[in-house]
Amino acid sequence: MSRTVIPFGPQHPVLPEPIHLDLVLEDEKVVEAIPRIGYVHRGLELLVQKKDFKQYVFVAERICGICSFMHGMGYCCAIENIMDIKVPERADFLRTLWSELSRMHSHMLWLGLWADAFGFESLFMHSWRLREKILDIFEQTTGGRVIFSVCEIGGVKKDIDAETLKNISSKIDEIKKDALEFSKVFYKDKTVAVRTVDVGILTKEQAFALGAVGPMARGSGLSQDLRSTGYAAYGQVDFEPIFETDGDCYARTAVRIREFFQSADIIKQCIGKMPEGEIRQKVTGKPNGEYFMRLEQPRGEVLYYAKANGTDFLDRVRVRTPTFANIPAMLETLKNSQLADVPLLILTIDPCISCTER
Amino acid sequence: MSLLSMTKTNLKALFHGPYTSQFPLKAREPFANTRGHIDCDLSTCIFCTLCDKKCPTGAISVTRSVKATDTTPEKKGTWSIEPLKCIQCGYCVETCNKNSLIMKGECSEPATENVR
Ligand code: SF4
Ligand code: SF4
Repeated sequence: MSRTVIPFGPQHPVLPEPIHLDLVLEDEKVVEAIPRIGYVHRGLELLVQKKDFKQYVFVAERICGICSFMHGMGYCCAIENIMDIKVPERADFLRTLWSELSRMHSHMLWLGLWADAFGFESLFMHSWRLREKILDIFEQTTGGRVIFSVCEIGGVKKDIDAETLKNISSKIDEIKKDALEFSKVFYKDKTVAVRTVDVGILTKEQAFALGAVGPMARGSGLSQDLRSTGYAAYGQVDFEPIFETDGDCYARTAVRIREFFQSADIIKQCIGKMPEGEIRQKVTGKPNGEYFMRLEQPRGEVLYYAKANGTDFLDRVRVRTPTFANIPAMLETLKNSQLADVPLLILTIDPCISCTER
Repeated sequence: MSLLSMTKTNLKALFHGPYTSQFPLKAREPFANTRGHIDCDLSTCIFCTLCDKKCPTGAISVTRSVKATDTTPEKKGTWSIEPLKCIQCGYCVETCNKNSLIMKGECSEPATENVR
């Protein structure tokens, strides 16, 4: 059968960010997808040679507008390990709390976009309405809705008082109740199932071989979650990595919905166990050495590499973001898919292109 | 599997009234922590240029007067900020030893005319 190549992206209604795919089609069936990225490269890694190591925290946060807190935190943790700084326990708990709030709002954002991609407009609006409440908690505690600027080398800049913590706890309960109601639509609605069940299957072996991370890997039955390594305060809260075994879009949706509720639970645990004390440790001296830091972001594992030379300016920072790691898995799911499913299959990895290109 | 799983949410939304805030009838108050814009109290600023050096985006420029005899604030030096460069990170507020810099909750007014 003759083949046609159609360009998909970089501008496409379903893509919030630019990625280009050349889709090789046989009739309506995709036989191959060839990706091209590089439309929003900002050179943020190189900036580390121009901004001093404390200023760079603000740059690291701007790598991504959704997991901005965890980017800042990943960089700070790497530098803290190089400099041998012990972060106060309360700061670790606050970092965990903000990380999980980020996960909640990121998953809610994705669920909304996901609903929008299969044409369920009102579900999209309800998801984003709920996400707004989480952003309000962020604004109340950090002063920012997207970029938080609270993480710093040696701890966090802002504390949350007991009253506000109680307040957050009850807000989380409300959000959970609301989310429970319409998350059932993703699970049970027939129109959703038609678009997601058995679409874009990635087997466990494929997920492993292609180095999939995050919900993409966990939806295929790989139970890997970096939070189990116990960085920040994760060692002190109870949780089990969530995974599903079907490997289709439905399974990945289920992983994210279940993780949303798990994050709410971790936040409640953090509030309950939050120790009193300092939130920041004074940083003296300059970093010298190198370190790899691995964190679990909403989209999967992020890897921060920092190399310092004893001056104010680092030699190198390298960030391997989860979307970058998930692109091979996405290409695999695109093979033999229908053209109409391509937008869904791109969205299923929860792509963040600005992260990927930095 | 059902076809009507959204009914409850939709019915609730029908009787709830608008979820969005009614701006400008009801303006949204910023939270105490909200990072809106930076303001400098020139009466306490000693024009030490520390904020200028530390600002990650180079939004602040401070000049010091070279004449030691100048005492009035206008003559001791100048402090200025380029609002569009500022990322509201708050690093300058932390840096200032004189507590002259304040992070205000309100975002700066949108520009309505071209002031280039
Ligand atoms: S750091 Fe404070 S005192 Fe120094 S120039 Fe800036 S605002 Fe003025
Ligand atoms: S808030 Fe940040 S970007 Fe804005 S002037 Fe202060 S240091 Fe510079």
